[in-house]
Amino acid sequence: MSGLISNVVYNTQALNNHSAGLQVTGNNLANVNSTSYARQQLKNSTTPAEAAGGLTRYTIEQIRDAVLDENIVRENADLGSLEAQNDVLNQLNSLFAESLQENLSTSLEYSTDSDSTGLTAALDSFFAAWSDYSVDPSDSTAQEIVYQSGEMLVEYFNTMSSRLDEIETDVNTRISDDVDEANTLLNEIASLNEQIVRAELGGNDTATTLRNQRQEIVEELGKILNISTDEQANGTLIISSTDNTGATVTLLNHTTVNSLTNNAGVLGLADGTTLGLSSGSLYGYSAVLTGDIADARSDLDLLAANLTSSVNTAYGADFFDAAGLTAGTIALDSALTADSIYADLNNASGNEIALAISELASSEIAGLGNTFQGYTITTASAIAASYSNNQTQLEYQELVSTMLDEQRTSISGVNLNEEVTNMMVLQRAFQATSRVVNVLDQLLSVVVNELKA
Amino acid sequence: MRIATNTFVQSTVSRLQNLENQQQTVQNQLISGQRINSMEEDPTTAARILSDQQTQRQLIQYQENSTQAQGIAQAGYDALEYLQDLSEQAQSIVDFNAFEDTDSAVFSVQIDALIEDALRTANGQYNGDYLFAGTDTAQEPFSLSYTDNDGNAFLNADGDPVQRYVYNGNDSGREIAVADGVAISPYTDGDTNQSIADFLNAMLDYSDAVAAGDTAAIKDASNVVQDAENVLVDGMSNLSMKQFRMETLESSNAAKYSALSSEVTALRAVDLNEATISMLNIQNAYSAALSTTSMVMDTTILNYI
Repeated sequence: MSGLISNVVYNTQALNNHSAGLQVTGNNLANVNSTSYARQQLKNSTTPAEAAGGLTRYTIEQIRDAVLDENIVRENADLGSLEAQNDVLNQLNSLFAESLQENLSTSLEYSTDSDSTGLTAALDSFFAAWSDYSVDPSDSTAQEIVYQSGEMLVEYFNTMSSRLDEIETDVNTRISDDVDEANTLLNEIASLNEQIVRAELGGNDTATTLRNQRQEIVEELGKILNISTDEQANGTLIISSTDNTGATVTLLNHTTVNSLTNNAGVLGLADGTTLGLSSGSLYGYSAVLTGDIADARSDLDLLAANLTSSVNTAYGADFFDAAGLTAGTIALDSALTADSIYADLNNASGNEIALAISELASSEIAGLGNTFQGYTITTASAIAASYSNNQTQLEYQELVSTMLDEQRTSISGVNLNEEVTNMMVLQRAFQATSRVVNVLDQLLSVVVNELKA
Repeated sequence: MRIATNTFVQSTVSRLQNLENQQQTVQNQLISGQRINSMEEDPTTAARILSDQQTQRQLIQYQENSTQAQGIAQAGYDALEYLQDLSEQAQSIVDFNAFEDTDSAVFSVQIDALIEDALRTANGQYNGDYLFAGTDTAQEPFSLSYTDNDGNAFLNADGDPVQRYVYNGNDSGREIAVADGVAISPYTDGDTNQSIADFLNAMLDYSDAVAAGDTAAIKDASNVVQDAENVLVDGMSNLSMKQFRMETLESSNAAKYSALSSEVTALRAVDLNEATISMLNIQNAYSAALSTTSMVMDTTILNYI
């Protein structure tokens, strides 16, 4: 049986444990609204030798599910990819979208030309001008309108091409920014790796705050590119991704960072490896750049090239500059003026030429496999479908991420009621232990003061 | 499942945001009366709507063209009808039962006035374009000349050069697109235009015959005028047929346009009942989410300490 002094020591230790427990609970309560915070728990442990005397030691544990954390990082990468694509597709869709708000009369008898916008409407206006001109090729006003509508159409193509250039530049800038951001995050994780290893050298305490910070940064990094993590026994985290052959490549080993590089859009690593990304915002931007944006540009250029060749063939001369075969370079022929159109067409064959050009509006163009307007609508519709699909996938992915977050919160999140209950238990325990110490104090007082005689 | 305190807040906020988005969509539908307000909402349907609207715009263009073409055809018809009237007036001037030599000069002057009127009508314009010139708009289609279009001189019975009316236009007819794949020329054809020159020359011969006072020659010339007039009537009939065809196509275009309008309306229009009920459901769900969460969050162990 232990003596009074030993009992005082044991109970002091117990008071320390309860005090630590109250600190942990207080810490949990203070972080109830911190999203990256994983609740902590005091774990008492007793060695066999100490058990007889009731002496306990404690460790502070962080309640985390490593598998869930890994899942969240992986799903974040998919979310990052879809969000990046969504942002760009939104811009692309706005550029190509055709107005559905046209207020055409329900009866042809009372209809007039609408003030609709979009490339289809611009093409319609161009061919309508030719149709008007075919009625009277000697009409100088109609000839002026043909010229103006041609200019407007060319400007529409040029503006769309410029906007596509801007979107491309914007995406490339975002890729560069994300590469810089990823490198910054890798360096921060490297720094935290070192701090965690140092903090956990004793092995008793886990560096919970540092680990929370690191997990938060890892999840941010996971939104930029697909990564996998491997925690070592000493607490350090190895971060890897995949190269263009699908093999694993190390981005971070303890404190050694293999930085990301962006060589004219080709994403690689400082050691010369070319990355083969499958998710994350970098993948999303690259995919939309080489997919939807490239397709949109190709469609627009094909439309411009076919318009130039078809109209020039029907006109019998260069109405559009024969060299301008892309949306960015399409232009009216430099020698063309409103007067030159009049000079070209105010003759016996003028009506046939104007009619032939106006009929292009409803003719299937061999190079497009569709009418000009039909092809434009198909292109706009394909982009809208891509955007719509992306939105659906994004909503689903957000749902998955939310679900995983909720799962993690259910494990790692702080519950006020639970913490208050813990606090009450610890307070009662503290009070009870304090009473024991008081009794021991009284006993010691009797032993020391009253039995001395 | 263990529920963390923040789970209530996070899931409620997420749910409310979701409901707000749904509410916004239905509100837009109710305000605009349209189920689809942008392409990404339903790309396939939007493509059909755009395609239909593009066809509608094309039909509007055909309608405008057709109106103009019918105006031209009507102007041509009226001109030919007037020429026919002039022909009948000219032929009725001479009353063979009471014809006297002294009348010749007077009748001839009257016929010449009718010829001038006929020439003015034949050279008439519609919207600044000659009605009977084919596609040659550079000059008046009918004029007096000493030579024909091939440069051969016109000579009278005595071999003296004389002036005759020649047709300066061409055989082409300016066509106007009035329906999908259909372009119609609202003008008279080259043969009809040439027959107007023949009519004018027949009137000239008739005037000369009346001036000469030769009854037999007058009768012969009158018959020639009548023959030329018949060709003009054929031209009128031809223009009438074109007008009828254009009106038929216009009706067909109008029917097609109405069908497209109905289709666009059906594709775009929102079902108001469905949208209203959907709005009520969303509003109820919103209120329920708010009150349930507030009830759950209102009760904590803190109330009992």
